[in-house]
Amino acid sequence: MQYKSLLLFIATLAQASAYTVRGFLDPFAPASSSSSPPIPLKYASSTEITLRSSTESYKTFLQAASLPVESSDLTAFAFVNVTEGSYQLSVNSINHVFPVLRVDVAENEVLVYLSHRGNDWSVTGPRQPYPIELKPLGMAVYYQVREGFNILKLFKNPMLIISLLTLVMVFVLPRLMNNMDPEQLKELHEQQAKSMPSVLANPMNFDMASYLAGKSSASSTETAGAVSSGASTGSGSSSTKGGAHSRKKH
Amino acid sequence: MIWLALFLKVFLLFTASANALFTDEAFVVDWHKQALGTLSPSRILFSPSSLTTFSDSSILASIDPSNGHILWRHYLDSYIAQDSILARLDASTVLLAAASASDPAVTRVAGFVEQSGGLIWQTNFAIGAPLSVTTASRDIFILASDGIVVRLRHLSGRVAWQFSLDEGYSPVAIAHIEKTSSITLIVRSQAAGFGILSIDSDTGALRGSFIALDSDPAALNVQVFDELLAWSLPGTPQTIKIASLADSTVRGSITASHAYSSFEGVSNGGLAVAFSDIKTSSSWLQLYELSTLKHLKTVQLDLPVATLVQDKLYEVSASSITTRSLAQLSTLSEQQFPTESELEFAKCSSTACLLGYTNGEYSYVTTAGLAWTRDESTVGGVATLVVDLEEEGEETALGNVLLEEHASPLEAYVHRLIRHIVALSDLPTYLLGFFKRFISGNYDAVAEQGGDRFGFRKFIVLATTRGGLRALDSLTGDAAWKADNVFSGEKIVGLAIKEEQLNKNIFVVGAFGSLATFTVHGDLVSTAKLDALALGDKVDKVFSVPLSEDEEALAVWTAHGDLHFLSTAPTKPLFFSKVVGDSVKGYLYNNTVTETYTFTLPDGYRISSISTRHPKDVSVSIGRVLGDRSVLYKYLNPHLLAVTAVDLVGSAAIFLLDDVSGRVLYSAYHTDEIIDVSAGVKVVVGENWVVYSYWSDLVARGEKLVVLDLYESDIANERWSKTVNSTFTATPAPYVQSQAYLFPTHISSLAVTRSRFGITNRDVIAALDTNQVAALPKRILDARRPVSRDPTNEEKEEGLVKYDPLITDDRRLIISHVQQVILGASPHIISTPALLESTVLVFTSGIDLFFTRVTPSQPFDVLAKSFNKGQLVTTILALAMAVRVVGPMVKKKAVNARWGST
Repeated sequence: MQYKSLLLFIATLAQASAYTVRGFLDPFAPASSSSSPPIPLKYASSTEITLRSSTESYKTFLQAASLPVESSDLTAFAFVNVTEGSYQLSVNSINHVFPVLRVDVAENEVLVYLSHRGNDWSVTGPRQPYPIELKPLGMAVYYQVREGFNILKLFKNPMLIISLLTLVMVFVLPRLMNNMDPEQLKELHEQQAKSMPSVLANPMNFDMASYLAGKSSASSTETAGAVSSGASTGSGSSSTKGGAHSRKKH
Repeated sequence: MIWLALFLKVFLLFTASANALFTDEAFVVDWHKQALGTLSPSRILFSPSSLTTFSDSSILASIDPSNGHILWRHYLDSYIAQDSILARLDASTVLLAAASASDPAVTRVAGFVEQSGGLIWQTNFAIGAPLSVTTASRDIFILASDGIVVRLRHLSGRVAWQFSLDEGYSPVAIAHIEKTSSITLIVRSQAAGFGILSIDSDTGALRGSFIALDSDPAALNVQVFDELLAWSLPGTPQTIKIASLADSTVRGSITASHAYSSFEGVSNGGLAVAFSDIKTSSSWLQLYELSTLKHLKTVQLDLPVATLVQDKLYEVSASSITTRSLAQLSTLSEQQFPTESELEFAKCSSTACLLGYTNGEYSYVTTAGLAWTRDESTVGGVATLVVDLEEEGEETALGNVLLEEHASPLEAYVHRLIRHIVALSDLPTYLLGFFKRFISGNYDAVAEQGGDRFGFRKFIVLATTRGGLRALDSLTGDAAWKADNVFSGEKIVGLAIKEEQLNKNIFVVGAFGSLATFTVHGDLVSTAKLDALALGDKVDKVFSVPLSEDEEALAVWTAHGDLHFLSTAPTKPLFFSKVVGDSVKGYLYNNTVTETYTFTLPDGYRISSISTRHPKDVSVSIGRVLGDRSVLYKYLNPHLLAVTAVDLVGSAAIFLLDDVSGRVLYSAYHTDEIIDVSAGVKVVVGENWVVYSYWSDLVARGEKLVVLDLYESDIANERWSKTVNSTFTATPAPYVQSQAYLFPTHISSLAVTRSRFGITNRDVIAALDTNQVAALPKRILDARRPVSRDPTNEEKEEGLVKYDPLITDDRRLIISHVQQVILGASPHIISTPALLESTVLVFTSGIDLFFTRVTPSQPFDVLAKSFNKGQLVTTILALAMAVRVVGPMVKKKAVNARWGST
């Protein structure tokens, strides 16, 4: 790859116990699925990469990954003259969040680990490849989104849907029933009584406790009987209303 | 993917508590002024599309020449600006060579793309500080103070060769002569004098031997114009010797017609030398024949500074530039622009000039006139204070009320009647405004002309390093008023404010005890120079001591430890403390100053930072109510002084002192850690708590934030401060609860928010090394959070959540959001209350200026921006309609129920 070839000619001036630590930021965002093409990422030139311990501190900026440098994307980075030690490598980017790495610079060797914040420093995470490869964890989120008034969202609210349906049942259904031909209505009731499960036909009489207790078959037949008798005596829902009134009067 | 899970877990834990900025508030409640710092004419490069500079504050930046905006910036704090060279690599890249801040014997060299700011390469050499740089055949030749020349490859920064000067020669400059393909080193030797050495540019081998040009090695004013080398000798500065670098021979000398402070030359066809003299504010041009150095003519110029660019002569004064062609000396263009500042330098390209002024402002002038001006004086401000502004009309309203209260009833009634009738004339505008606001739904008080009802507008007064003052309007960040050179050359060391009824007097103290007042009433009213304090000594520190509720004494310490009061000396005895070296000293003022105590640090420790509670910080409750309704009384000692210290081996310590009695209230040592000593310990004192932070390598690496909560007693409901309120009475030491947290990034400074009445929660404001500013709710940093168990119901009632040492890397804590706020090594954070209890104004300075409003307990006393008036009105109307519709139906039903008709 291009950036690897450039990494090769990034300058080093070997000095006693001073090393060069190189790496690059992943130029593509992780693909959401294997078939979708990877999304190329653009890093700002203000992105700083720091390598720090309590005694040493190194800071570098992103370098061009290919030539010509003027038009190349900035993804590579290199620290020069790093003395031996154990460092924390972090990327300070305004737009992206990166994992924090542990970089151990030892004689002739640079060991890179994922670091787990809050753990004992001697506990290292999984080993990472060198040259360092940093994949962004995601975009940095600085803002809260203000939830404005949204009529669509309002209708997605289950409470509103339930209340609207109830309203429809209370106001619209009785009228529909009243406008129907009395004979047709009678037919409908008979049909309902036969085909529909009793529970749906008259949900007011549904015995939830016994249903859950598994006594559904016995109780449903009971209620079915009650409903069918009710349906045969009156006509439609106005009759049940009448029944309620009569019970009140007793 | 353990780490991802860990990250998510921590992330979610505090998601609910994050009090982030809303998208529509960003860039509205805050402003950010990017700064560069002092520019040096030697480190400015011009190109048609940018102006690149490396400032004294170590900021490498590229400026858009058309409008003065910053295209990109890098804060290169590891490069010493004073020992640096900025040079052009090729048409689109620049090179920076500078001594390293961590090791001055090391030169750091880096190449940058001028347009994007991308790094091309970076390398280090242990060759001393860079002295001179030249480029040839696209490669770079660097001469360093150790007498070493390195040739670097232009694309890779790799070393082609290295050359060391022999013992006895000290380097002066490096030049490249195209004709000879050799590199010329200008050197001096005590034995052989001042002269040149040639090295082969391809191999780095010495060509020939030392050629002496002058027997005296003490050459001054060494300059290279094209192929000519000019220098003068110490006793005779007006005689300028000229040698040709092409054939290494001395051509002769020219004589300046007057004494000069600087000169510049160009040689194309002839030799032109422009002299400028600061003392007499004069400049002149001397023209010579190139080959024989025959004097042709001397032209006296009108403006004080003359500079030459190729074939052009620029005559520059603070407020005008005249461009002339060098060949005919005819005027090409003339620009005039108003300014009150004094010129410091002029740096010109073939098309434009950048003028630097002594007050820290810079102007860019093109042939079309003044293009833009930048004010860089606010960088590294000496002192800062905030001036509250009275709401417009508050004074007259108050006067009216007072008059009506004290006048006879009839008189008061007539007065009020007249007042109301007069006020009627404002009714139409008021109504218009009301409906406008009602319809637009825009209730932003600041945007409205109705004035600043919420107290968001203040003046932030900064004393600049150039001896001036800048008063920034906190709404925009622009200078509301400014004053330059307050003490004509004397630096400002301190600011103090004293309120006299409605006028605010800002006292400005100069380094040698000069005094001036700036009276502010809404705007700057007047300035006055007061009699200087007869100190006979340098001022060390300016401070104020509260005397009573709303009175404070302003005092000045001199370098030798004398105390002087600025206005009137207090009549009561006063106790105060001062940090002297690595100890804290207590003093008693009772007409004379006597030392009361000295607190010395343990051996090996030195003071890293100190903090006291802000004298105007208010506590609204004296205790903390626990879940069982018992109370832990807060330890509210106004004399609490927190001192942090570090030692060289990497230990840290904190001491809480009573700064009146010198008693140590609490101390803690962190000896089992390796602390970043150079970053030190940062500390802030809040209400009854102290938060400090330090970077430590052990055991878990990271920035550790420690919170100390101070209570009067560990026993609930026990309170001794009810009867004892003197610091001299023996009282039990405060009960200190502490917890430590791990913060994801380095912290460079800590501060705390301060609201108007102290009801609002407090946020800890932290300036981060990542060039950001964060606000951490103190609720997170609570030392009572239960460790390794879930909170009990009582603890939940107290608002405690389970202790988690990791503070999440949640960017919603960042109040500077997407802005890169470079604050430098010593950021300064000020928080000041608005009139709204919920809102605190936070101002940070250092290099950049950043200002924002934070609401640690949400903006509970203002309507949220999401408040939708239309929705409210529609809902009310819909409900009214529903009542009208349903009402008759219900009534009908009720009647039917009674009378049984179906």
